[in-house]
Amino acid sequence: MLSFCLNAGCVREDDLTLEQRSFQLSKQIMCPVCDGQTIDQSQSQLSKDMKNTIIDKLNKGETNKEIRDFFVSRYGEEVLAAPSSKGINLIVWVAPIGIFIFGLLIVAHAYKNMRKQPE
Amino acid sequence: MAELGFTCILLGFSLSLYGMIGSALGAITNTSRLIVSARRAVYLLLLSSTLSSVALIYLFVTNDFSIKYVHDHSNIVMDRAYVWVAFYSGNEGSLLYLTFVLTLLTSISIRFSPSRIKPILPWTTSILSGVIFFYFLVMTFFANPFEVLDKEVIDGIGINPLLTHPGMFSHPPMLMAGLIGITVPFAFANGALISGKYYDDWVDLARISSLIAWGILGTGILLGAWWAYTILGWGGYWSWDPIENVAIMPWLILTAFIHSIMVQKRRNMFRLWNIVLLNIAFVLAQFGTFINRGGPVVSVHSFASSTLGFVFLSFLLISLVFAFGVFLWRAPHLRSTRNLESFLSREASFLVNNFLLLSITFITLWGVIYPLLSDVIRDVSVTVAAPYFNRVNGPIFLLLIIMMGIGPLLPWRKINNETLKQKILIPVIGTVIVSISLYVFLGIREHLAVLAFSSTAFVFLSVFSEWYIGTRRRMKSNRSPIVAWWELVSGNRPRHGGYIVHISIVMIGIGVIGTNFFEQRTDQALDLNQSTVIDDYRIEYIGTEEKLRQDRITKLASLNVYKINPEEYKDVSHKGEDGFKVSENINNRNDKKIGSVILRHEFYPLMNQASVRSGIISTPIEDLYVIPRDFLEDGRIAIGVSINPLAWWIWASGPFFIIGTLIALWPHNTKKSSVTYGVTTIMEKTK
Repeated sequence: MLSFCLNAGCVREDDLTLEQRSFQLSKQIMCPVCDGQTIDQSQSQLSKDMKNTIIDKLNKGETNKEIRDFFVSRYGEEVLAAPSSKGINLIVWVAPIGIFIFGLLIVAHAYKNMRKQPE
Repeated sequence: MAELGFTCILLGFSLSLYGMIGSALGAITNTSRLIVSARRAVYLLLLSSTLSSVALIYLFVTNDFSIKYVHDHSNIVMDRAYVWVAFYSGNEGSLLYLTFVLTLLTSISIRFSPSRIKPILPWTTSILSGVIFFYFLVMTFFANPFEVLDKEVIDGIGINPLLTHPGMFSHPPMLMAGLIGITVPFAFANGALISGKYYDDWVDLARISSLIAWGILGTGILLGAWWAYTILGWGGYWSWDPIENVAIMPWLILTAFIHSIMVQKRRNMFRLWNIVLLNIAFVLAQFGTFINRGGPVVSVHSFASSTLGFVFLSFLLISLVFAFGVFLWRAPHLRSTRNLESFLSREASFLVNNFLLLSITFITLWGVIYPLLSDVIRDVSVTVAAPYFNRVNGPIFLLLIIMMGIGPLLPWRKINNETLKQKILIPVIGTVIVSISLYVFLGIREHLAVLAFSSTAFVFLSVFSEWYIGTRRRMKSNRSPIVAWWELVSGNRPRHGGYIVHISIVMIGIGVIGTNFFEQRTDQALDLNQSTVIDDYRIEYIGTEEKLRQDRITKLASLNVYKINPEEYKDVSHKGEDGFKVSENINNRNDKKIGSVILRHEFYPLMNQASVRSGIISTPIEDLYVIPRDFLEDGRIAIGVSINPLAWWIWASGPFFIIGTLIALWPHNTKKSSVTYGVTTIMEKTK
C-alpha cells in the first residue's frame, strides 16, 4: 500500500521519511536525456544528479510540489511522468472515465437489444 | 550472397503482388486455375523469404562488413551465438524476419485449412499476400537489408549491448511473431466477409490462429518483462512504455476475441462483434509497427526505429480503411439469430469481460496518443508514463480479475438459483476465509491490497471448485483423481486450458500486487566491509574487481547476503527509515549467510552505452534485489536495495500460461466433441 500510495501520491508527505519521498519523486520525474525512462529507472549521470538534487531539496524542507515545479521550470512540462491535472491537461485524466462510461452505455444498449430480439 | 538475398526480395515482391491480384481476380471470375496458381505463388513466397533470411544470416556469420546492416549490427568480437539476435536487432533485418514469419504462417494455414472453407480461401490468400507484399515493398524500396556500404571497413559497429542477454533470443522474435500472426485470423475473417459466405466455418480457424498469435505474443511480453527485471536493472518489469503499450493492446483485444469467439461457436452470437475485434487487433498491430519504427515517441525500446514513419502510417491507414470498409459493406448480412437469455450467463459474462478489456485498451491508446496530440496541437511536450497508467488502468484490472472469478461459475444461456448456490458456495466461503486470514494472521491493514489479494483467491477458488465438482463426478467409477481430472480437462480443452491460463494470470496478479503494495527500498553508498540493513536482510560489500575487454570495461562488486533478526539491530537502526548502514566492527550478532550476489556494470566506450546486471536472490516469498548504481571514485559503491515481495510468481506463471494455451489449442477428437456449431443464419434461411 505504501508504495502504491507513494506512486499515486495518496499519503500525506509528513507520514513518510525523506528517503521514501525521494523514491516517490524519482518515479514521478522523467530523465530528460533518456528515451522514456524515469530518473528512478535510468542509469545516466544526469539522473543521478537529479536524484541528488531531490535529496538536497528534501533536506532543505521543500515540499514534493515545490520540487516537481522546480524541475518543470527547468526542463519543461514533459519532465513529469504523468501530466498534472490542471488546465488543459485535465482532459488526459477525465477521458478514461469517459471511455469507461461510454463502454458501459454500449454494453447496456447491446444487452437490451439482445434481450429484445425474438427467438 | 547479398545478390541472392536481394534477388529473393525482388522475387517475393513480384510473387506477392501476383498472389494478391491473381487470387482476387480468380475469385471474382471464378477461374480455378488462376486461384491455384496464386496459391502456389504463396508457397514460393516462403521459399524466397527463407532464402533471403539465410543469406543475411550467412553474411553475419562470415563477418561481411561490406553490407551496411551487418556493419551496423555486428562486429568481430561479438559472440557468434548473437548472430541470431543481430539478425533482427535493427529495422531492415526485423522486417525480413517479420516477412519470413508471415510467409511461414500463411503457407501453413493455407496448406492445412480444411476443404469446407474452400470458397473463402482465395480471398484469404489475397489478403495475406497483400500484407506480405507491403513488407517486400518496404524492403525493396526503403529498407533493403542487403544494402552495400559505400566505404571500405574492416570491422562493424557492433550489436547494441542491451541486447546481449539470453532473453533476447526469444523475447523480440516471439513478440514480433505474435504481432504479425494476427494477420492470419484477420485474413480468414475478412476473406469470409468478402466472399459473401457468411456461415461460420472460418470461426474455428480464426480461433486457432488467433490463439497461436495470442499465446506467442503473451509469452513474448512476459519474456520482455523478465528481461527488464533481470537486466535493465531498475527493479521493475513493466513501465507502460509506449512500445510496451502497443504490444499489450493487441494482446488485450485478442484476449477479448478468444473469449467472445466461443460465444459464436457455442451460441452463434456476437458474429459482428468478433469481426470488429479482429479488425481492431490487426489495426492496433499496424499502429504498433508505426509507433515502433516511425519514431513519433520516445521509448527505451528504440532498437528498430527508422525514418519510415510515413510508410507505416500509410499502411496503418490502408488497413483501417480496408478493415472497416469491408465490415460496413458486409455487416448487414451478419446479424445474430439468438438472443441473450439472462445476465447471469456465460455469454453475458464474456460481454462484460470484452467491455473491460476494451476499456483498458482504449484508455491505454489514449495515453499513448495524448503526448502526440499535445505536441501537434499545443506545441507543448508532455509525458504520459507509468504513474498515469497504473492509476487509470489499475481499478479496471481489478474488476477484470473479479470477472475471471465470476465467469467460470456461470453456465451458457442461464443459471437456475439452485446451481448458482451450489457453485458459488466454495469460492465465496474460501474467499471470506482468505480475507480474514490476511487481516488477522498476516496483519495486513491496507484494505485495497486485501481486496486485490482476495480477488485473486476468488479466481483460484472458483476454478478449483469447478475442477473439484467435475472430478468428483467422474471418480464414481473407481478412477483415481488425477485420471478423472485429466478426463475432465480433455472433455472440454478450450475451457479447461483457459482455466489453467486464468491461474497463470492470477499468479502474475499476485506478483504485481505484492511488488506494488509492499515494496521496500533503500539507497546506500558503502565502504568496503560496510553493510546495509533492510528489513531482515544485511548486505555486506566484500570486494570489487575490474576487467578490461576488447569492447567494454566491466566492473564487478561482490556482496554477501545475511538473514538477520531485526530485533538485534534495534540499537543501530534509524527510526522510520526502511534501510540503514552498519559498519563491520559491530557485527557480532546471530546473522546467517544465505548467499552472495555479484553486481555488474559494463561500459561500452565505442557505443557510449552502459548496461548493468543486478544481483537477485529470489524466493517464492520475496526477492532481494540489489542494483549497482555507481562505482564511486573513493572506492565506495552506491547500491539500491529493494525487497520485491512475491515477484517470483510473475515468472513462475510462464509455464502455466504456455501449457494452458497448448491445452486450449489441442485439437479435439471430433467424434467425442461436445461442442456444437450454430451455423444457421438469417442469410441462409432467406436464401
